[in-house]
Amino acid sequence: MTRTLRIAVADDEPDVRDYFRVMLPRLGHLVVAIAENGRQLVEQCTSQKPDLIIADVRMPELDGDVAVQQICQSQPTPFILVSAYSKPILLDGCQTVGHAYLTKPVKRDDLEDAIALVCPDHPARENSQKNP
Amino acid sequence: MAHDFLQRFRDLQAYVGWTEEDAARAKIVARVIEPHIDALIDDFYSEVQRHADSARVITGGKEQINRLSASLAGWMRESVEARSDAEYVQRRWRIGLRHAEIGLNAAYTSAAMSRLRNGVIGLISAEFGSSSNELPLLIQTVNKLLDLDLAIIQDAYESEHLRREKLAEQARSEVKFRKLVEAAAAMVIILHEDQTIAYFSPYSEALTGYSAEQVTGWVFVRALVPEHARDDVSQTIAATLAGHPTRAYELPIIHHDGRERWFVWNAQRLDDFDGGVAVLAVGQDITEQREAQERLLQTERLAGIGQMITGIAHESRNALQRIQSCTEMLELELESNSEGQRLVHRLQVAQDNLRRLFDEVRNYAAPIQLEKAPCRIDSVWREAWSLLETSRRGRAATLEEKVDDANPVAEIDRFRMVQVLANLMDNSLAACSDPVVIQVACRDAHLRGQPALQIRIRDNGPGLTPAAQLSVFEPFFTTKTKGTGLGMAIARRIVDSHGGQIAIGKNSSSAGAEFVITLPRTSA
Repeated sequence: MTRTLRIAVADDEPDVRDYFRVMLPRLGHLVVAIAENGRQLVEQCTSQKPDLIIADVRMPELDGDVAVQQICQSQPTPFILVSAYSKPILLDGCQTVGHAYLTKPVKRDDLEDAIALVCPDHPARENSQKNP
Repeated sequence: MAHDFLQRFRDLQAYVGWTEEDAARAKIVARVIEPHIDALIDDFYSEVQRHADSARVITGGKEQINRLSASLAGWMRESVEARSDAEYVQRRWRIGLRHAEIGLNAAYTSAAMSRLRNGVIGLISAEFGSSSNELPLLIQTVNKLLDLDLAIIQDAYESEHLRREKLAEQARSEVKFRKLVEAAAAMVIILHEDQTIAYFSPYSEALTGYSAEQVTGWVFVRALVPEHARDDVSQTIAATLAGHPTRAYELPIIHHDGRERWFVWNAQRLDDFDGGVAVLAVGQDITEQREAQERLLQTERLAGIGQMITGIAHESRNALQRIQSCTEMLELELESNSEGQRLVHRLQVAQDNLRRLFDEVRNYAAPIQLEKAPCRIDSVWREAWSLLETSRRGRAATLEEKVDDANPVAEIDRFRMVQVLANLMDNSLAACSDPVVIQVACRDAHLRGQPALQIRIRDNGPGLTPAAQLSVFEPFFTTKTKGTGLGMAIARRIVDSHGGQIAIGKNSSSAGAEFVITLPRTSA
């Protein structure tokens, strides 16, 4: 059965934030929080309690990986970290939740696959509206 | 001293107080000794033969003694004639020279003269009797006469002896110099004043590929110096000839085969070489140091560029992400516009190409850190082949493998070697028309004396043109319409970093391209 995921996204680039805002609903999900940096992400996740976090790693004020680590300490949440660097980032204490790392540039297909991997009970692929 | 011996003789005559009276008395002495000359000579030579050091110079036996006796008799008669002209002095001078030539110890000349003197004085004493007033004067004359002769003989002997010593010393020092020069691991050359080569050391022969015989007489700069440096070198040689030594002058020399070798030169003037001034130049071979220095510089430059490129490739991902995001959003906007969709698709292809270029540039430029482990090479090429499944889709392509008795295991970074073989196979797939056959084989080999594994990979495509063979490993060289031209450059970098070699096979012809990879069995 399909499940709409409530997703929090964070990226310091307006173009990328717009992309998540437009694309994630197309994949059948709800964007519940859009943050410009790690600090905003922590605040918004505390109030919204999303099912999934998609965050850029390098952001002003607070990096995405540090923000996710903080969030997971009080409310373990599956996450996808997006980075310009191909080196994997290892987060302490976050290994019990579903997580994935993507290297930029991320395409719609990569995003779908990562969501399916991180939230396996969500058959995103079958539910999404794919372009021919 | 030979030129002014007559003047010297006159001076010595004045010194001993030789007078006309002495000349008159000498004639009396001549008359007295004439009947006894043979006896005096017999006594003289029997004494010579009694002493090892004087007998040594008589090498011609009885015959020589007869000859010498005749000339001694001539000498005695001439002496008591006391003509004292140039010819007379010259003959005495020659006796000295001859003594030096045959190596007679000078002490024996004095001793022999003393014996002769006693003989002559004995004869005149017997003739005149001890009460004669004339006897002391006659003895004085004999003494003056013989002392003068002895002086001139000794003068000649000394001067000849010195000349010979000097020559011998020169010869000895020349031998020493040659030995030193021939043992020196440096180019040693001597140039005449006209800058032609007079001497070319054995090491110079080894370093230039020319024999000394060949280059002797050649103008140094024209034969061995690169054209652009000739004027400067000629001026430097001229300055050295003028007495300004050259120090630490770096100059390449052209080898017989056309290559250049670098030397650092020190040169100085030789004041007396074959009767003229010359330049002695010593060149230390610094080719290898220079090459090492240049490699180091090149490595540093590349490392700097590599770091910058890696940085750019990383940072570009943020911009690529924005382009990707906007492209996909635009695609959504243009869902019902087929022309728009087509353009977006082209945009996406261009963007993918750009991303691949950045990835490959970064792969090429970033430092390679190998994670080596023993691996079977056949499993590596099979993995590379399966990696190309997408490229092979719809194509008639087969991989023919041959391992035979070879040991297929080597210590390698599996991931990187898969990349190398996949790059080679991908090129073959792009170059060959169907049906594509890629043959891959391995065998035992040696690399720099160590056990190695050799992999040959060959296709049935159009092969490599001579131009392509020269440039195939250069970055950004490509014959494909798609591709960055970095695949082979990356392959080479990976093989190099394994301490291995990648080369175009000798069988590369119009019947297909062949590459040969040789990898050390174990890491150094």
